[in-house]
Amino acid sequence: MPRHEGVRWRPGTDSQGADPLLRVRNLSVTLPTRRGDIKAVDGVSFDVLAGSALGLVGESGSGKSILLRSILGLLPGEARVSGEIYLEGQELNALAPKQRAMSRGKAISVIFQDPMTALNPVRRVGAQIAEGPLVHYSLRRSAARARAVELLSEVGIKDAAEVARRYPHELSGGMRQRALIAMALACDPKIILCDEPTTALDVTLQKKIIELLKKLCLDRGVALLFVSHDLAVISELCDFVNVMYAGQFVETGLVSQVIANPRHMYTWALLRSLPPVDGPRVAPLSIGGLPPDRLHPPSGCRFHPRCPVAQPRCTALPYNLKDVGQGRRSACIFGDAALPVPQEESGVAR
Amino acid sequence: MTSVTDGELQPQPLAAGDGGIDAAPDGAIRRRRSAKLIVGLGILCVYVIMAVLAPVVAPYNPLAQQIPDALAHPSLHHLLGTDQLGRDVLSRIIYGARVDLVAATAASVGACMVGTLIGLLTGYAGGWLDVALTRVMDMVQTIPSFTLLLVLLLVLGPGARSLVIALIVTHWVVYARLIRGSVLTLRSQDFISAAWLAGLRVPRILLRHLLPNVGRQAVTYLASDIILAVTAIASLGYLGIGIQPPTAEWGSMINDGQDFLSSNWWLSVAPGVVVVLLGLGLALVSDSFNERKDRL
Amino acid sequence: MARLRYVGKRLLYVVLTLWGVSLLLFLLMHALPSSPGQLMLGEGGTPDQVVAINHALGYDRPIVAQYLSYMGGLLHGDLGTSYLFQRPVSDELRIALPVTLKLAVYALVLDVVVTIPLATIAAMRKNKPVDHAIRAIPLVGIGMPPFWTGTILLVIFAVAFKLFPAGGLEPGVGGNLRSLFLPALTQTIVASAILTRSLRQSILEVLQSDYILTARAKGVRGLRLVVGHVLPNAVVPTLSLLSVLFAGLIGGVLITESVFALPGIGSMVVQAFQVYDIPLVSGITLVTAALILVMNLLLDVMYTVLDPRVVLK
Repeated sequence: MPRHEGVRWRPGTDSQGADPLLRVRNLSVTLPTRRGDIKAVDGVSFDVLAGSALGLVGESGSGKSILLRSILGLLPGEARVSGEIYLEGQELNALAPKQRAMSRGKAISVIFQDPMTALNPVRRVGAQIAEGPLVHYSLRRSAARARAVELLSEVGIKDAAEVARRYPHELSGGMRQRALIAMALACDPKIILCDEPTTALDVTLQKKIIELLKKLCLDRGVALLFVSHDLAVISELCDFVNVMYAGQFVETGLVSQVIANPRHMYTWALLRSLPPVDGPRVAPLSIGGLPPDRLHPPSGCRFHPRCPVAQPRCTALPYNLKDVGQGRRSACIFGDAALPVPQEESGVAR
Repeated sequence: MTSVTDGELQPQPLAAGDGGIDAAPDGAIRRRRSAKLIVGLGILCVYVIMAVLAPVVAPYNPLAQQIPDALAHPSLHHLLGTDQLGRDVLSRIIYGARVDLVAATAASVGACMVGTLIGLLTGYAGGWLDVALTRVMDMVQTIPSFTLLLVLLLVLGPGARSLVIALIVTHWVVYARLIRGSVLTLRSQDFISAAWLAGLRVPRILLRHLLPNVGRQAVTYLASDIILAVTAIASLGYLGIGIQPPTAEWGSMINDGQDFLSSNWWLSVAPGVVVVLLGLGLALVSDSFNERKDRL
Repeated sequence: MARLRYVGKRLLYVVLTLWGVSLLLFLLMHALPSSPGQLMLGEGGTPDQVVAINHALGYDRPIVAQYLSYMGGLLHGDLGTSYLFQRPVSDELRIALPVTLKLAVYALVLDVVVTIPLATIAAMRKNKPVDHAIRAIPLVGIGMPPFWTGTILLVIFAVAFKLFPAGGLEPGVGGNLRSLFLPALTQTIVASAILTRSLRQSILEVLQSDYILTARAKGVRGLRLVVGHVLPNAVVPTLSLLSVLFAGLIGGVLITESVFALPGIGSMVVQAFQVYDIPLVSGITLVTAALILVMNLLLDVMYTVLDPRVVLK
């Protein structure tokens, strides 16, 4: 499969072996609910290297958004978190709440999904973008405002000075999303967490935003942690992908490899559920069954009730995300080699 | 295991994401709500008993003066002492319920009925009638109720009946607005058109379809309205307007007691506490109704 | 610019409503069973004297004529002549109105100063003891008649502890602030009970929103979060509530004046009522209506300033 443009990290470069920018070890998040505790995120570990883009793909309820929030430390008060999160070597969960709060927005920033609700409706756009530098760098108002205008131009907004004076409801959806991106860039972050920033946009806009993100990250060397349910978007933008199901990673690896040659049945099913862009028309296969019960997840492999090639031992064997070569990992018993399913065209461009 | 929070001011939003996640257990909330309702109803019962069974419950005649015993401190004979004319304070408070509570309830219920009627009419009829009545409502609400009451009482004369009428005229607007709003919303909904197309005539539509839906809101407001009416009656009584002495009325009792604040402070405080407790009872009941309604 | 037009339109509406109110008052006043002459002279007057007075006051003219001269007078700021004081109503008001206005403003300021912190703390510490305590107050507060609360405050602070004057208005800024504090506080107890509940609810809703999450993700916390992001959004619905409550607030202020013997239009209207001084009662009513209308206008304008999404119609 040809390398897509915008891949910043290549095996064998000197960034290999360097300490990862973000390290997450054994992260679990438990949410108490009326009916019992739900483990939204269940013992997840991963690294993000500086300058690279890691995609997190999974369906709704797989825990990906909660995972993002737990990295930021912005979970509801009753959530219980265990595990470690290291940002540039510093353990975030060990910080006092105040320190934790102050760490946000600087080395690590966020772009949320819905640009309409993510912006404060009663404050001007420029002021909101300028707020980060004001808080973190104690800039003077005028300097922060000027920087906001610069950022707005950088994200491709014409008449940036005029737009900065507007309120969110006076901007179009695309402009709002760009403004959110500008806000995320305001304090020169090392990594940007993206919670489905393209989902609320139409397709043409999606493409533009993705192009913008690619360009910005290349120019600034910013790492991305990109959450989406859309494998196609992730393949456009990311170098690596972790596939998430029911709170656990089921497969990880380079995007190109995972898509060309999935090593977990869920990944295969995901790919298979997308209609092909080119080539012969093949009806997409929806993934049968219902989303997993998060209160009482299926035993063994959580995907087994919906897996077309599930074996009896799949209900018993414990979760084990093992190395399967080439830097990839899979939790599927068939992960070591090609999956026992017909390799058909999927909707993701190869 | 660390719980991640923000330090200092610490917002506690509900869990985001999947619907149906609700952190607090249900049982505790439900028990709290029933406790509220029971306490509230209990309080109201006491007042109703006071009003209805005053002659039975009160130890003395509220109008009976015993000048030699004036300004007595609370004792076994007079649980709340006596006022400046030797009348038993407790009895006057009990009989006061007949005046304040009954008049207030009559006024609120009356306002509710009048307001609901007008609200239904204007909401359903629309057109110039709606515009005109809405303007009238604006004007009535613009005048502070206190001054409007005074003006009306000037015209109607003294006495309990004028008071009730004046209160109805002052209070109907809120109900009318409430009902009108609901009618306008419901009117545009399909089931009303369906009923009309099916041949139901206007009054029937109003009664059977609109009223049950909107009536609940009016009744919920009724509880707060009653306490507002009691407050209004007591305020006027305090100023010597409305209910005239020597009738026992909580507001005028507070005024009477104001001359003796340093020596017999309970003369003014006790009737007020009675009003506050009534407000508490009504608030508890209407709160628990509100919460129950939200859960539907 | 659009805002100026909006204000202009609203002013027109204010004028129209005031006209409606004046008409209403005129009709009510003429619905009185007794004529002014009878009221002024009482039992002792002879029929001739009554007729004479009525004639002097123009009471025997046809009603339309009376209305026209009434309206004419209004347009000149003439609200009639008080029976009680035998002076123009407007003169009496000129002395008494400032007192009431000061008290009303003081009360509003106290409302804001009390409600915002209480509601914010209650919302931030939701379901903790502090929150329950703050939420319990309205249950009691709503039943407390202002005149009674005023009396209690008098007992405690003025009589027992002698911290504040026990009535009357002391001259000078300091004196004013001291004498008006308890009366204003009386009204605040009731108003803040209602407003706190609304604001707390509003803050809780705002705290759930995405933009608060975004702000926190930027590193905004503590006071900056509350003042810059939470409150500007949360106060908007409460402001509407204040609009509705304001008429009641003024009513409460008028009554409280009598408790504290303050020489404002509240005390004046009670006196006027007791002697059937129709012009004075009517004039005061009209003025209080105007006050409410102007205040509502100000609140509405503030609403549009706070929330730029509101379309100025």
